[in-house]
Amino acid sequence: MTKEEFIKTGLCEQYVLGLTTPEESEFVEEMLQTYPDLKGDCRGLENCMEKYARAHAIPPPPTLKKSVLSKIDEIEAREKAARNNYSIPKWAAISAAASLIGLLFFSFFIWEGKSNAENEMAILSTEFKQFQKDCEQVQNEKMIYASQNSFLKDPNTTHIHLRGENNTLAIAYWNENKDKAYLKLENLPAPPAGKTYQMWADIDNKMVDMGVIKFDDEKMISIPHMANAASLNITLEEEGGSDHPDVSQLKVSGVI
Amino acid sequence: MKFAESQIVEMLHQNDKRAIAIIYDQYAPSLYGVVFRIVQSEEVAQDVMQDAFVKVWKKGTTYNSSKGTLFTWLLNITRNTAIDKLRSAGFRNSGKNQSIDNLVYNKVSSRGTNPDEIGVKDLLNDLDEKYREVVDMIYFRGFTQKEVSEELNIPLGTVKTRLRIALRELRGIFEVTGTVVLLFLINSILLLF
Repeated sequence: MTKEEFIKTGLCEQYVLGLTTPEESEFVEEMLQTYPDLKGDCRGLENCMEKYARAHAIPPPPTLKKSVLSKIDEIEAREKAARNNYSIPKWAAISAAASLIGLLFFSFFIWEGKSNAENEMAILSTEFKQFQKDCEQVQNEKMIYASQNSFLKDPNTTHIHLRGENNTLAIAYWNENKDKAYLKLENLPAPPAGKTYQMWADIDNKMVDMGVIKFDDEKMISIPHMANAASLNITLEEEGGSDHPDVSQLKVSGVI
Repeated sequence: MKFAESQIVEMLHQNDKRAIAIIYDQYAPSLYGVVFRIVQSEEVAQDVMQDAFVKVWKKGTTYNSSKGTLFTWLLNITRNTAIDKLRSAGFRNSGKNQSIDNLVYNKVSSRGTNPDEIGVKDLLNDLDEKYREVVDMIYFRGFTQKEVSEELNIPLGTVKTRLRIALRELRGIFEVTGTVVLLFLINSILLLF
């Protein structure tokens, strides 16, 4: 667009009066940059309009100046107060946020540690109870072995060998003074299903029941001490035991 | 004390509050003249002036002198504030058909106008009424060119042309006035001797 064409559009006048759209204003500013003498022209129009306004000036009420200035002071004071009250320094905001995140992480680790510790504690507690139980058992067994040991070492304890077919052997440890006895099934086979071993003492030619023997070929089995017994016999009986021995099923026997 | 425009602008850019008082002293009567004519109420005009000066204070650092004179910038802020007030209040069209001179001189004649400008005012009467009308409607009453075209029932193109001619004419008048004042001053000085 040439300078003359631009002048004819009247954009300069509208620009001076603030009537141009933002796009038009930009265009005018561009033209003023391209043609510096247009700028002078435009400035001339602006000064002209300023003079026109001055010619139509009305003195405002004398109090207006004070109220304008105090309104600005008031707004400035309010904004300053707002800034002081509500603005948090950047470093403080950042450190507060960092602390919060840190605290969250810390809490999480503590919580995780606590629940881990609780789990471990539960496991340890179970293990400890088991260990205590085992310990008690060992203690009991030790006491049993100790008493059995002292019983076996007792000079008054006699070893009675009960023998049967095929070199089967059981040994009864007999102590009249202590009125106490044990049985050890050395190589007797386990009783068939539905059967049980039962022990009998021969007292005055009568077979007196000494009870059913619970089969265990490793441990010493406690048996009653029968005074005046002449011999000890083990028979195979129906499960639950019998009142009278089945002599045909006599497995081992030994004379005291 | 009169400050140069560049000094005032520098203060504005530095957020120096003294700039507001200086601007007020130098431009308030011209701005108030425009605002009063647009809103046609002393009370509303004072409100508009307060709001406009707050805007000037807040926007002061953004004023770019390469885009226009300080007065044009101030006037655009003030005029827009006045027009917004008028539109929001909904009393935009009251007194639309009143003559500017009747309106102004009836209401504020007691306070009077700047005596320095009386000569200029006489000269302005030389401006053809049809041009003056367009300028005044836009400048002093907040009309858009389109509204002027509707109000006066003339094509928009004609409004634009009249506005352009009016401003050129006004410029001529003010340049002549400047010369007349200068000649008057020279004569006065010569007469002293």
